[in-house]
Formats: sequence, structure tokens, C-alpha cells
Amino acid sequence: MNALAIAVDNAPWQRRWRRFRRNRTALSGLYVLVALIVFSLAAAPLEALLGIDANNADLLSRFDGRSATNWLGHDELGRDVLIRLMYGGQVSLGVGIAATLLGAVIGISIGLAAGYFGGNLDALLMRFTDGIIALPLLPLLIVLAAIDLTKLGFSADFARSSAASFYRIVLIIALIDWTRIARLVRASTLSIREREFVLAARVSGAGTVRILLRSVLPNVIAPIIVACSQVLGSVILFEAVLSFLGFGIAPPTPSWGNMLNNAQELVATAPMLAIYPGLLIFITVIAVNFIGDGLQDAFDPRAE
Amino acid sequence: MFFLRRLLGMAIVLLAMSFVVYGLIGLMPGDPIDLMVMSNPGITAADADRLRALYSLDEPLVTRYGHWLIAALQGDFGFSRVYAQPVLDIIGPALWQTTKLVALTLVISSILATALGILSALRPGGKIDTLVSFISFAGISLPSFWLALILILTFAVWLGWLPASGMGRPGEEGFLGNARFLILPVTTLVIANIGGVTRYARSALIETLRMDFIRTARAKGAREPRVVLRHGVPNALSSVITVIGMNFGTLFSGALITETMFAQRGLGKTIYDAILGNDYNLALVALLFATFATLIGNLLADLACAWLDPRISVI
Amino acid sequence: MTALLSVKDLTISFPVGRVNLFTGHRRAIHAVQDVSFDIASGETLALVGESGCGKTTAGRAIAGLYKAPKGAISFRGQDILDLPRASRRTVRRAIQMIFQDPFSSLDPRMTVSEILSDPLKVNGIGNAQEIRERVQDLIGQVGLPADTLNRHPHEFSGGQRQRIAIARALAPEPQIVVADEPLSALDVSVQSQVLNLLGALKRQRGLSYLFISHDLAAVHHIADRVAVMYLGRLVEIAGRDALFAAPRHPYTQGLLAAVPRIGHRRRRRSLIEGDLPGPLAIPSGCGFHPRCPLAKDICRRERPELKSHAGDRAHLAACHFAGEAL
Ligand SMILES: Nc1ncnc2c1ncn2[C@@H]1O[C@H](COP(=O)(O)OP(=O)(O)OP(=O)(O)O)[C@@H](O)[C@H]1O
Ligand code: SF4
Ligand SMILES: [Mg+2]
Repeated sequence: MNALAIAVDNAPWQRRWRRFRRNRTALSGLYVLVALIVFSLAAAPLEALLGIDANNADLLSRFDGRSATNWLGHDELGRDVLIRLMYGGQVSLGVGIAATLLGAVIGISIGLAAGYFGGNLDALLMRFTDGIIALPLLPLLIVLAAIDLTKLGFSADFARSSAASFYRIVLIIALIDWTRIARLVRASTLSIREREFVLAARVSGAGTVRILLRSVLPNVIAPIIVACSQVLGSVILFEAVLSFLGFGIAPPTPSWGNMLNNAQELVATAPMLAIYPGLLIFITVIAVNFIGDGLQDAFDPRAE
Repeated sequence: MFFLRRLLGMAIVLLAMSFVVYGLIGLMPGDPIDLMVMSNPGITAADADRLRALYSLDEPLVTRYGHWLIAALQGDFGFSRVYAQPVLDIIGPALWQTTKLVALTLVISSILATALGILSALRPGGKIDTLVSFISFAGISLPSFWLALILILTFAVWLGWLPASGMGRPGEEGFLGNARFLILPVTTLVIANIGGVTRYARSALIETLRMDFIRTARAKGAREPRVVLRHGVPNALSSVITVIGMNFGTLFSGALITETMFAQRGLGKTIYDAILGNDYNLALVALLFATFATLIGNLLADLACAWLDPRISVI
Repeated sequence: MTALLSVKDLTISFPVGRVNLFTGHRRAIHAVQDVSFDIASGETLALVGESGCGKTTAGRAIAGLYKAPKGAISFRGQDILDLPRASRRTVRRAIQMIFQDPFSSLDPRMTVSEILSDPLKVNGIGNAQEIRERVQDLIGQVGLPADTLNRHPHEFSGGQRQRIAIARALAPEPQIVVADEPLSALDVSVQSQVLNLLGALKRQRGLSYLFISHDLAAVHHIADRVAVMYLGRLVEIAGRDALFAAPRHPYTQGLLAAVPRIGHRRRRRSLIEGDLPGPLAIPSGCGFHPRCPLAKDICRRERPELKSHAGDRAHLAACHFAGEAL
């Protein structure tokens, strides 16, 4: 009985999954993304297996070619390229997912507030959102990333640490990537707040917070998922370019962006050092975008 | 009325932006007086304090911002620390350089995107459509700095056909001499830009082709390519312009990347260098000009749309 | 006898369109205007009228769904539009609502048990064990089996869903239930079952209903008194039998004439002709004059007051000629 009820209740999700699966590009995107995640997570085990230390600079083996333990050779400081690419993947994907989720929290809050309360608050919040969307965001991000954390009262040690650079880039990207999610959540909230089950909850005495969390939010999950999947790609690109420009993840912690830091000068001597990280970014983002596109179709209410 | 409201909105955005960035700059590494002290060992601690008072750095943020704003409204945007020139003298040529880059990109990518959109929309789901859609996704997903790197590697390092960077030597500044330097940056920006625009053009066209007047034209026996050209293209073009208008900010971000990669002194690179070099006044004003240009771009795109599509009335 | 619920001069407008840049105002739809009526304990007042005349809006205002309606609504003599935050929920509990469309009034993501226990939880009624018992009790009272509770709304038919919605409305132990066209979304075959359920619950619990409907047969079956609305205003209100037997307002007469099967004296006049004017263009004088077969000059100039005309003091009508022999 119970199992049946749950199975039936999952029907919309099963339908969506079936529609998603039919989309071959989206499905391959998903496979590629899973493979990339496995690739990144395999860094530490592989490092141990090969008995090398990817952070260990060894100037004697700069630019050395492949070998039995260094499958993709060495970089300009003699570090193992493959393992650093794998660790870089953890950082790049980690920043991407964390900043998208944090941005989603901001976007959901703003979208719910604007859509549910409407009126002047809605007008104000949406003007604000449109204003942010129109701005040239990269220079703004650079300004935010250039802030000296010690002037905000953090210790100098923390400010220089790569943990700080991780949190900072997650935070500043989240500060600008919420807009799309906010607009989608607002639009869905607007339509849901007039639905009779929400009115019924109000009549029965439920407070605003309870209604938002229990009646509205669960019913806007689908558009949120679609929006997040579409935002993730651009977030990964933002992390890459900021780290590349020296405003993101601080070396020696590798990210796919900052592994390209020196690539421009080295492009003639060691082109592969410039090609690998960029190729990984490209493959990741295109996979994510294919997934996002597939989710959009699969979650399209007109198809339900 | 609409026009006035837009201008008012722009003014508000610029004001808010200038205040926020002005405040953020106070949080950037280095203190202007310290920087002066560093570059001139003759300055004593007492001098430094006097300087601080002179630049009213000891006053609260809002007061300082007020002074700055009043001066700025009178056209005095202050000096660049690094270049020791009025910032406007630096921003002028940079703005012109960026405008060239962006304008070329816009023209080329609008034409290409419309053409690709038409090719896709003729047979949605067909082979060409699949290919175009793949290209669009690739364009959206390419990190443009890396694309620039690959283009440099291919055309400057390996093939040696084009210069890797710079804007031309003083002697060969004529348009053609200059154009050689623009080929790779514009290519980069077009590729980065075209994916999103094409997807938009395609869906707008498919929508249009479903609309009634097109069906009527078809029913009257007009041939397919003719129908698409007569009715589809204007519609596709106006939606291309809409999406370009909405994405001016993104375009400028792209310009920052390409200018930095190809060492072209446009507005984007000016901002980037200014922040790296602690030249904050220059960074602030350049960023405001970039924002202003972006907003003007949005507005122009809206006006162009209204002009192309009589159904939308914006004024 | 003081009324359980008393509505006085209730007026509700919705701003529509853009703010006028010169005056700073927006145009407004007056969905409900100067509506007054009382409901006694245990009484069912039916609210009838054409689509768009403001029935739902009035019902929702009484259920507390609009922020600041004009006029006054009092429950047991207490003004409920201006309650302090603290007591709002306890007073409001007494007025619950059943919605028109049971397909959208139940949250698709909740189980029936959650749907029924939520009102108890938010009102702080009982501990977990008590809530479980009451929920089982409720589902039994509306005639559904206990295993309904673990299932989701989409597994039920319209009639079953409406029973669930009724159970939810009953959960906080209300004294008045606003039932907004509770039958109109249901198959004809189940309409009478739900109607009988409503009647039985009323008798068992001594409930009052504001029963919104345009099904005059159902109204005749369940109502004690009937109020007729037209373009946001009450045009007639009377005891059920008086209204069905001798309607005084031409609009009511037209409504009843459209339903011959009730079996009362067949009217000679045919249906009301013409279209309902838009809510933004309410006619001057008597709102009904463009469609009224009896309209005279005065009807265009002066709005008739809602008042008693002859004999029956509880029979009010808003027509200049309601007192004349028809
Ligand atoms: N939120 C709103 N905003 C603007 N106008 C509204 C709103 N709600 C209702 N209206 C308008 O108020 C008028 C009365 O609507 P209401 O729903 O109360 O009518 P009704 O008598 O219940 O009709 P029906 O029989 O179709 O349910 C209608 O003209 C409607 O368009
Ligand atoms: S007042 Fe006049 S128009 Fe209105 S209902 Fe009576 S007779 Fe008709
Ligand atoms: Mg209604």
C-alpha cells in the first residue's frame, strides 16, 4: 500500500527522467559529467598508487615528457600534470557547485519574497535584479575579488590561504549568479500563490514562513533545478577566468583556471600545458549545458 | 515617458554602482598614502598624516564619496596614479578601442547568428539544426581566454600569419594596419558571443514560422525560402537585437578578456591593469564608463527593436 | 438574536493596470461594493449571481484572504478585520473555507494525512497522538476509508477530493464554513452526495454556511436564506421560500425564470438578455438598468437602495419598483 503510494507519487519525476533519457545529448552530458567527477575524485588514490607528490616542485624535471609514473608529463615547476589536473577538477567543480548552490539560496529567497509579497517589494527586487543582469559582471567580480581581506578584519594568514581564496570566489560568484534563479522562482511563485491550496493553507491559519517553505517552495523545485543546471556552466567559466587572471583560486592549489596562469608565456614551448586544462573546462561546461538543456525540456510543464 | 524613465533608471544604476565601487576600493590592498610613501622615500610620517588630511582620507566614507561625486558631476574625475594623467585622457582612447572591437563583433555575430538561426529553423530537428545547435553550445561553453590562447597558438605561433598581440606600431596605424591586430580578438569575441545569440534567433524564427500570417503566406502559395526571407528574417533579426541588447554586459566582460589576452588597451584591459596596479581612481571611473556604455547599448538595442518591430512600442 | 457573522458595507477593489504617472493612482475593479448581511448560528445563507459578480471575492474576504477590505466584518460581535496579531489565529479558526476546485485546492505534494493535520498543527490543536486520532475521525466523518490518509490527492476522484477538502475545512472546528461553489467542479452524479454530506455535517455540528453557488436547485435544497448579487452589489436578500416564491428584483426573477425545473410558478418573462457589463464600466444608477425589462428613466439616474418594500421585513430588494405588484 505504502510502497504503491510512493511509487505513484514519484510519477512526475519518473516521467521527467524518461523524457530526459530520451534526449541523447543530455544523457551523454550526464555520463561525461559523472566521468569527470570520478576523474577528479581519483586524484588522491592515483597519487598514492603512483607514489608521487603532485605539489612537489622539482625543477630538474621541468617540462619533462611522459613517463611510467607521470602519465601526462611535468609542468613548468616540474609537478605532475595529470594529478594536478585531477585536483584542479575538484576545485573547479567544487567552486562551481558551491557557488551555484549559494546563488540558488539567494535567488530563491529573493524570488520567493518578490513573487509572494508582490507589490512594491516585488517591483523593487525585480528592478534590482534587472540592474544586476545589465551590468558588466566580470570587471565587477575582479573588483570584488581584489578586496583585501585583512581590511575586513581577517588575519593575514587566512587572507593568503587558499581556503580563503576558495570561499571568497564562491561568495562573490554567488553574489552575481542568483539573478536567473530569482526570476524563475518569482514567476513560479506568482502563479502558485494564487493556487487554491495556498489560499487554503492561509485560511487554516498557516503563517507566511510556513506557507513559503511548505506550500510554495516544494512546488517550485522543478524550475529551480533547471535554472541551477543552466547557471552552473557559466559559474565554472567565471571561476576559470578569474583564477586565470589571478583573482581566483590562489596557487599552489590548482584549479583548471589558474593552471593556465603561465600558459600564455609558455604556449610556444609547452603547448600541451595550455591545452589540457582548457579542454577540461570546455568539456565540463558543454556537458553541463547539455544537461541543463535536457532538463529544461524534460521539466517543461507543457510536456507534463 | 518611457525614455525618461529609462534614463532615470540608468542614472540610479550608475549612482549605486559608483557608491558601491567607491566603498569597495577602500577595501583594496594598499593605502593611497602608503603607496605614495613607498614611491617617495622622502615623505615622513608627519607628511603622510598631512597628506591624509589633504585628501580628506580621515573623513567618513560618505563624505569622501560626496566630494568625489560633486567633482565628478562637474566633469572632474581626478587623476590616474600610475599614468599621472587625468583619467579621462586615458579612458577616451580606451573606450574608442573597445567600441571598435564590440561594434565589429556585434555586426559580424548578428549576421552570422541570423544566418545560422535561419538554417536551423528551416528544418528543426534536421541535420543542419543539430549541427548548428552543437556549434552554439560549443560557443557558449568555450572559456574565451582559452580560445584566445588556442588562436594565438595556431595563427601566431604555429602559422605565423597574424600578430599575437598589440594594436599596431605608431607607423602603421592606418585602418588596415590596425585591422590585422583586430582579427584574432574579434574572432574570439564572435565565437564566444554567437552561441547564445544563435539559439535565440533559432527559437524566435521557429516561433515566427508557426504564426498565422506566415501560414497565410504559405497557403497563398509563396515558396518556402521566400516566406522565410520576407517574414522570418525581420523577426529573427529583431529578436537577435533584443538578446544582444540584454547581453551587452556579457559582451563587455568578453571584451575585457580578449583585450587582456591580446594586449589591446581597451576599456576592459584598462580596468584590469588599474586594479592590478592599485590605480583605483582609474579603475573606478573606467568601470563606470563601462557600465554607462553597457546601459546605453541596452537602450540602443531596445530602440532598434522598436524600430524593426512596429508591434513593440517603447516610446 | 445577535448574528454569528455580520458583514457591513464590505467593499473590495483590485487595482489593475499601471500606475497613472500623473495622479499616482491605478484604475480599480470594484469586485464587491457595500455588501451587508448577517448569518445566524446554524443558518445557511446562499450567495447567488452570475459569474464575475463578486461572490468568490466576498467569500474570500470573509475567510480573511484579503489584506484590508473596506467595511466591517464581525464575528460574535467582534470586529475581525482589525484583530491584534496574537488573537487573529484563534478567532479566525472559527471561519473556514471550501474551495471551488478540489483539483487545485489540495497540495499535490502532501498526503491526505498531512493535508488534514496541518491545520491542527498550525492552530496548536493537540499533541501528535491526538492529531492522529482527530485526522482519522475527520476522514471518517466525510465518509472516506481510513487508508485514504496515506495517499496523495491525485489518486482520488473529484468527489473524493472535495470530501477531503471538506474534512480539512472542518479540522480547526469552525463555526462558519464559506463554501465557494463546492459542487460546480463535480460530476452531476456525485453533486448530490456531497450536498447531502454538507447538510448532514451542518446538522451534526450546528454549522453555519455561506454557500456560494449558481446552482439554484442546490441552493433551494440547502439554504435557509438567499442573497443575490449583481455586479458586486446585493440586489435582493430574503428567506429561501419567500425568494423562490416571490422574487422582487427583476434580476432575481430572471435568474429563477432560467431554471424552470424547480417547479415553482413558471415566469412569463424569458431569460435575462444582453451581456454582463465589464466590472470596470459599471452603469450609473441601478447597475441592472441596461438589461432590465422594467427600466425607467429614474433607474439610470438613481441607485435604488436595498430595503424592504412590503410585508416581509426580512425581504430586501434594491429596485425602485420592487414594491409594486409585478
Ligand atoms: N485578484 C484580482 N485582481 C483583479 N481582479 C479580480 C481579482 N479577483 C477577482 N477579480 C475580479 O473581480 C470580479 C469578481 O470576481 P469573483 O471571482 O468574485 O466572481 P464570482 O462571482 O466568484 O464569479 P464565478 O462565478 O465565475 O466564480 C471579476 O470581474 C474578477 O475579474
Ligand atoms: S431599479 Fe430599475 S433597472 Fe434596476 S432593477 Fe429595478 S426596474 Fe430594473
Ligand atoms: Mg467564483
